[in-house]
Amino acid sequence: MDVIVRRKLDEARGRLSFHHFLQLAPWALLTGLSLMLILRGLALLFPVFPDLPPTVWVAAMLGPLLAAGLVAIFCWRSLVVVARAVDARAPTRDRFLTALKLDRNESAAFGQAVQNEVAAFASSFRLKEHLRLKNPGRNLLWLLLPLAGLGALELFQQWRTLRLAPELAKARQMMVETGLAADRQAEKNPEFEKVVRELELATERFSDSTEPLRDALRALAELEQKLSAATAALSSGEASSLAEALGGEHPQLAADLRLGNNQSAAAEISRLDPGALARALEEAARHGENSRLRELAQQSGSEAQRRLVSILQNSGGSGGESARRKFLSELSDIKSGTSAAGEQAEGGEEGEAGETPNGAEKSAPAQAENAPPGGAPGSEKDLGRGADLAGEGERGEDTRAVEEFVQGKAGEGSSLVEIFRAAGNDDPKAAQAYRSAYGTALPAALDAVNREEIPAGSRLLVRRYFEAIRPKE
Amino acid sequence: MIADPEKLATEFREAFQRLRAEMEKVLVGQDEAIRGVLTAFFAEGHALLEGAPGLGKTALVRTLAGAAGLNFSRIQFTPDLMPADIIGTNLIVEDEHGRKRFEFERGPVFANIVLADEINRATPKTQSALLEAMQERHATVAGVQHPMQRPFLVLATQNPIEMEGTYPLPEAQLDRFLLKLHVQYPGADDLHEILQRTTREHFPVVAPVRLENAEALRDLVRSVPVVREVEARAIQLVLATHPDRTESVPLAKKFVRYGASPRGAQSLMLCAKINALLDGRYHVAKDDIDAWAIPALRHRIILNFEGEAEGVTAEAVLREALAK
Repeated sequence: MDVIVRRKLDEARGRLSFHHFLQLAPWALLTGLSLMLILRGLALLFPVFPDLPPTVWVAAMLGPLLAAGLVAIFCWRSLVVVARAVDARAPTRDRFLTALKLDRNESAAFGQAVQNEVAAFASSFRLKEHLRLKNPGRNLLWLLLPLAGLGALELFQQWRTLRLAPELAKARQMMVETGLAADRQAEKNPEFEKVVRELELATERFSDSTEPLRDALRALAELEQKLSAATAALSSGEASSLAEALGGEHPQLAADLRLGNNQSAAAEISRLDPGALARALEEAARHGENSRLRELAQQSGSEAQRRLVSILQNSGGSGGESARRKFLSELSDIKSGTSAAGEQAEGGEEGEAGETPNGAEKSAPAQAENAPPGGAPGSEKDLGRGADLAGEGERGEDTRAVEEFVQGKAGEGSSLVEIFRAAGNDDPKAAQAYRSAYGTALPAALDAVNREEIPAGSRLLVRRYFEAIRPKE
Repeated sequence: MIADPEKLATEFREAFQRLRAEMEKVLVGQDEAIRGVLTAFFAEGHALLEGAPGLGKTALVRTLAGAAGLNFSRIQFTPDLMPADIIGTNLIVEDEHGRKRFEFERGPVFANIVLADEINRATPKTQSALLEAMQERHATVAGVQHPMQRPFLVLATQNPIEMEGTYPLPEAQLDRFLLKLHVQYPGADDLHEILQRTTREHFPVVAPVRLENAEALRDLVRSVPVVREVEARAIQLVLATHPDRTESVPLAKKFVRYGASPRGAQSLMLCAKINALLDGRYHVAKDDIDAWAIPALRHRIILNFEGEAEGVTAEAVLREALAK
């Protein structure tokens, strides 16, 4: 092939590749923008989806463009394809294709003549005039679609940020106050350093949430539950079940358990044979169907002994226990303050966390909307004091059962009964205490919902319900 | 092998232009027909001229013979014309010694250029008498072959208007024609020019053009190279006229009974080669093929009954194929 023809074809290949790339570029950009639109939409709709860093944007735009470039180069890699395209677009009379394809041996007479003629033609042939770029205007218009979509998403994000600002501020304030309370306790008790860290993590988590107040309340409720579980002493039912199981061989221990002498009971249990204690726990768990006793019974004898001693000692007012109780009390106050502010806002008054003029007005309905059935976790309703729990006592009222020895009519000797005074909805004449009934019903219900194949949402609903009716400590 | 194709190609173009110039002295407004006839002349193919009476079909052929300085014979085809009237016959002749013998008396077909005037007026039997001469370039009489002179061209004319008492040419014979040319009616300016030239004292005189290298020029035409991709265009056009092929166009599928023959592709390629040489190129382009597709293929397409009834023409089928 003649050098001039070769040069012309190379030039044509460059032009055709570039034009092809420019034709593909709008579609590549469209692909990139659509991808970004989808990812941005997912990030907005589902908070679990991470917000996209700028590198993703750059990759999403440059990736398709690079692919378009590679496609353009690949499509025009063959000179025959280039020659065919040039001959089709320009009045070359198939000269370039002939120059490439002509078999010199077959057409020896004319071979050189053809090459000379094509070379002469190629030297005066102006590619620029014939290989003009097509107007990509219509293709570019398609880009407006994803751009408009991204703009709409950005507006939606701005609107939502503005809408959630008061609620977020309130949630943050609550977490800050809780954090300060935990900090104060952490100075005395290193156990609370972990609590502080957990609070910081929770605060980070709900900063991108669409329901910050609800998430904050949930985080606090979980914390409260965890601390409560750590502080909870044996219930009277548990104590009486265990006393009954131990009563035969250790009457003093049984009496101490019944009378609530936890410290002396702890001392005696620590001296017991772990095997005997394990047997007693098994029996008590069988009789009382109590989850905690059952849990202890499933552990090894020495471990169960150690934990039981710990539970009894802690319930006796140790330093860690008092710190937890104090913190829980503060936490309760913080949460109550939030609820009160929410109720005030609902009543049309300006809330204390109203950074925007109508912030409080917005936050209250938002809180109400976001509240789970039976009340938000950690809210007033969640504490078992909501109006949905008929018959519960007023806030601050003592709901603990007081045990008294009374002369019963049923038997000859004295018997232990529990009398509940204003203990929520407990009927003084009820055969079983509310707390005890709750303690029995909760594990049974949780076992059932965990065992049965039911939707996850319904499982959560049952848990929430039991959280809502949990008896006050 | 051709020694200097570029020089010979230049000679070819000059010869073509000179012949055309001489013919245009007599014929006005028939550029396409002149070009077609000259193409047939250099491709050594036969041409069928179709046009209304008085458009100069006969004059065109006669002028070509005069300009090329070749033997010319005219056969007026009539229903009672016999094959022997065309080819010739053996006559009993007596020599000086009184002995009698058969001697072949050559018919009018033994000329360089044969004008078969109103060829569709003769019976198919007589029309077929030309078949051997046209294809094999010899005539067989009483078992003896009589070769034709070179070049040998049959330029036939037919009148498409008068169908009464005519015999359409058989497909086999139609296929022997390289081109079918339509002689168009001249425009007003051309008619003025015709009157100027033919109704005055001096009638234009055609000067014969000396073609010393006529054989070499015809060989040159066949030497023009064609690359496979360009050749594919001719094949695509031919196959597009076949109703049962995947390459066929919708009109062909619906209205064509038989498509163009391989001989059509050969004719198309020869004409395209001449076109390339006249354009100053030494290779065939797709445009050259497209330029001659209709004259070279239209008489080889046989329409079906629906096509005839709908008034579809072979030209319409070919235009659709060209647009593909």
